[in-house]
Amino acid sequence: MKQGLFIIITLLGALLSSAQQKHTISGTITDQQTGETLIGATIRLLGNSGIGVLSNSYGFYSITAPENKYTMVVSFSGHKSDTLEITLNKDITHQFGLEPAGAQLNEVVVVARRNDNITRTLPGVQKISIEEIKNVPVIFGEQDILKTIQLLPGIKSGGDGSTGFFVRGGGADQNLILLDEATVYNASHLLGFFSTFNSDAIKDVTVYKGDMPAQYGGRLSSLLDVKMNDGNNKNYRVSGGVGLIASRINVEGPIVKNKGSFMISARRTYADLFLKLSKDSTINRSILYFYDINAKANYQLNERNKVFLSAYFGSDKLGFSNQFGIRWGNATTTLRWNHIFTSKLFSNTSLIYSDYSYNISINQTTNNLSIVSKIKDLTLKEDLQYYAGNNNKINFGFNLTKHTFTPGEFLTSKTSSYNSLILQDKYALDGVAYVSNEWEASDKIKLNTGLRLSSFNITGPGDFYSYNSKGETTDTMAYSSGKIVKSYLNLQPRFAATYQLNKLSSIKISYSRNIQNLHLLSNSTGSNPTDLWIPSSNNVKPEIADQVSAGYYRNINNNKYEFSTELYYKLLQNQIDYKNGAILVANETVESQLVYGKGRAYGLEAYAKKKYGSLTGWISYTLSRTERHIEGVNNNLWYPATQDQTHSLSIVVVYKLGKKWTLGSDFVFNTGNAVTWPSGKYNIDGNTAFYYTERNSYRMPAYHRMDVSATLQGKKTEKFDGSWTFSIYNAYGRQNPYFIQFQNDPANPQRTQAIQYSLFRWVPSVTYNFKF
Amino acid sequence: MPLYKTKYLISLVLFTVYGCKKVIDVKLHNAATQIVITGDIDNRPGPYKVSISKTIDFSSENVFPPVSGAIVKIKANGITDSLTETSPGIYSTHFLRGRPGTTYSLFVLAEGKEYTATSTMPQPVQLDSIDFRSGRKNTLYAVANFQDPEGVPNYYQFIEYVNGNKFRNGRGNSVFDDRLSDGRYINRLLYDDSSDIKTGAILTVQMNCVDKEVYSYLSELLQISGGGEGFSSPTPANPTSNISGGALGYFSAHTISTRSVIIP
Repeated sequence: MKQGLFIIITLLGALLSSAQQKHTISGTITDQQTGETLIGATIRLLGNSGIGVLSNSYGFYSITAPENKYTMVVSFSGHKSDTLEITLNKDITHQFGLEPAGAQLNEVVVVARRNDNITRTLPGVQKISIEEIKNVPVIFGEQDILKTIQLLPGIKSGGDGSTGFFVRGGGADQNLILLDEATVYNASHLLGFFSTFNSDAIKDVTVYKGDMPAQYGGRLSSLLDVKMNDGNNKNYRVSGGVGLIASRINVEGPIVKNKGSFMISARRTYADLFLKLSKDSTINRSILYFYDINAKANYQLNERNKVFLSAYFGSDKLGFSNQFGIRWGNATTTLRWNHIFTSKLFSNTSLIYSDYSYNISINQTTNNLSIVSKIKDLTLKEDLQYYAGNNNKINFGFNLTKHTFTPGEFLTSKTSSYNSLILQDKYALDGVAYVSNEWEASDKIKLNTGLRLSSFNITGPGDFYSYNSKGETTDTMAYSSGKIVKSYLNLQPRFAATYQLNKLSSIKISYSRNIQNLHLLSNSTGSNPTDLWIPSSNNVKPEIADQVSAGYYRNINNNKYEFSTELYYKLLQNQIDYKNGAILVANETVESQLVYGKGRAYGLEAYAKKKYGSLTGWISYTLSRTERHIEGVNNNLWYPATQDQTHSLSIVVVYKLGKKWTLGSDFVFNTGNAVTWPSGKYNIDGNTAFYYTERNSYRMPAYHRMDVSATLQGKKTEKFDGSWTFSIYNAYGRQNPYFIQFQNDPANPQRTQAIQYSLFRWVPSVTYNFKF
Repeated sequence: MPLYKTKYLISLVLFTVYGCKKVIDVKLHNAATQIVITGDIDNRPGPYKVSISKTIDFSSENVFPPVSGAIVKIKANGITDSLTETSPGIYSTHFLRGRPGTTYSLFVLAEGKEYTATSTMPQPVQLDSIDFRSGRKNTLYAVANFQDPEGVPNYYQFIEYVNGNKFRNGRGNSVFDDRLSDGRYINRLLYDDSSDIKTGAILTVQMNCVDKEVYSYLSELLQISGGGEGFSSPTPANPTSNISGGALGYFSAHTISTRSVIIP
């Protein structure tokens, strides 16, 4: 009996020990010099299993492994790796502070060459480092994230002077731009010449070309996720730049050393000062400026809790003396709370308020008119990350947004030619819940699966109209406050898989569905700050995109060169277009002017990059097609979307010449946009009118341009770092087509001719950058 | 509405600082010829004219072939006036009188195809006066002053003449509707070019009250008269004609009110 018991106990003991106790090590990864949390740092336990995780957007990591001794290696680009021997026999917390790799060129630093692009699961993702943004020459010498991402495959520029960008054939309103989790509605100043992001203050930029993780959604084609610096929590630092057109300054420092910090960053342009020099009275009485202010503060309450408060204000103003003025801008405020429940469960709660509005005022003696239009959003977001162990991470959460749209309030004086008009406000409640799983099934296979459920509800108070095919109102229904007019429930699955062929190459495939409930109405070929955003409604259905993609990724020469190629195919539903002569302005029944249809986009992207050495850069090439099929348009036949550009090539080269000079240049080439041009002409009342046949059956001439820049490193001491950047946008001054107009030849009115207008030829600039 | 002009104005500023233009060669397809019919009936004594012509290739000289030998009839109040071709492609009425409130129906049989249209002449609105306002580069803009009748949708077309001649290059044409201005006293600014308005010349502004379909046609025609797909303009398309059967052009029964002033 005793012997039997003894055997059972021994067996049980053997069973228990072979089940192997697991423990968790967790903590935060920061930059040792500034205290900034590092996003996407790699933390690995060396050994047979090679367990590893990436730090999350707040620098948090958590690894669960069987009880054992391990060597932990933590690495992040631009920093020296850190190694730690640990004995994992209970739950441990450990904070890592990584040293930057050192700015001196003659310092030999062993920095492991990363193969993130091979191992990272999601295809269609592009990360850009701040260094890369700083070295790419851009118009007016201003560093610009939006312009830099347009040099990547699959992301097309809207052209000179254009705000929008187009990802994989999607529309300009199909890109979700987040700045520290707050949605940015207008990401460019002054029609796209300057971005709203001050690159001094940016920590991380990631672009998802449609394959977004399940915690993101709301726009069909892409996500541009921009994270700002939190602020140096050890020392005060000031940096900035003074340029010909605009200047910027960034001040950061500790609130309580090592516990809390703040950052304030501001930019303003003074282009209007130059306009005053003009002799033309229209120009010298013009007002043209923009400004941005970014402010953040954070405080570590205790080991498990950290709070953040951030705000962004940006505004553009354009006017002609006091006769006409338009002002538009974004303001956002975000309150966030990081809470670490257990060593495996991380939570972030955010409360976000955003306000996007424009204001127009016209004073023409008797004709006075002021117009106000805005969108206000209030969002509550809860994101939880559970590091389950076994190479399994589960993300789940929800968010709730209340949208209030003020489409337009037109106020006029008694003598004005216009009546006052107040379009009714629109209200919508957007609720989302999601769950997703990142699983390393084996050392070769990684799977990401996710599901996002969204419930979009349009609520009263208000009148809701129904229309017939002629656009006439057939029914008006009144709803009281809070009553649901229409609800759209959409399930959005997300799936991605990576198969690692070997350490240097992998294959990725993915499928995702995205929904968009906010639609930008703009029937001009360029976008306007006064374009109208409308929510889905009883007439307008949510837009849907289904995208599949497959890619091959390969690094060569020990990760010195990256190479990738991806194929994608995207189907779009419920795409919006406009009736002939559509009236979108000041129209209560604007939905009667819309027509609907579908779209498809497909393409091949190729990308090659050299990340290390004194010569770095990348080449990206996209071959693509994007088409639409809209009821009543083009005789109900497929036609190319305006943004369809068959070939698109970008080459970026950065060369570090000695200790003082960095030379940068980029070259872009793309096939022209699709345009509708005349196929004949006729006479109406003595004037020549043009006859059109198919929609978008012609192409603008090709666009190509090269920009060059040279940065001269000035004196650099412990306390001060200055540099001069000289650049020329459009270095060979090509007259790139901005638009083409047809008119009677002034020299020979019997003939018609085509005139091409170009916007920029050579644009030089000088900027002085400083840091102390 | 000035909203669509925002981007135009912004670009104009930047343009004047940087922009440049040049003539380029474009290869345009040549579509099959289409028939173009325009017909105007107004509240002055007749005769009224209907013009029938054809489209030509973009690269051709601006000589638009008239269509002769067509049968053209206009019917109103049960009486039909059969028009006679008084010059190539121009057909004139005999006894028809244009009166506000009357609906006119057009019938055309040209080259074996039938085309029909109807238009109702609205009630007249008087153009009270013209004055001038200074614009950019010290140009003068004419301002049309009139009272919009309240409670009725009104659609207006403006045509400007200097010393009896239209402005060059299709300028001097604009439209206005009272969708946002019902019942107001209107001071409508008529944009033009500095080359159009010359001191001492006689400026005549003709204000037509047109019906809804003709207003839509003229509005869409103006949108494509920029002649190209520029910033700020919608994708060009043929204006929605009120003539059925596939003809380009329009048929308009409208009232006329004109005022002339000497340009200061």
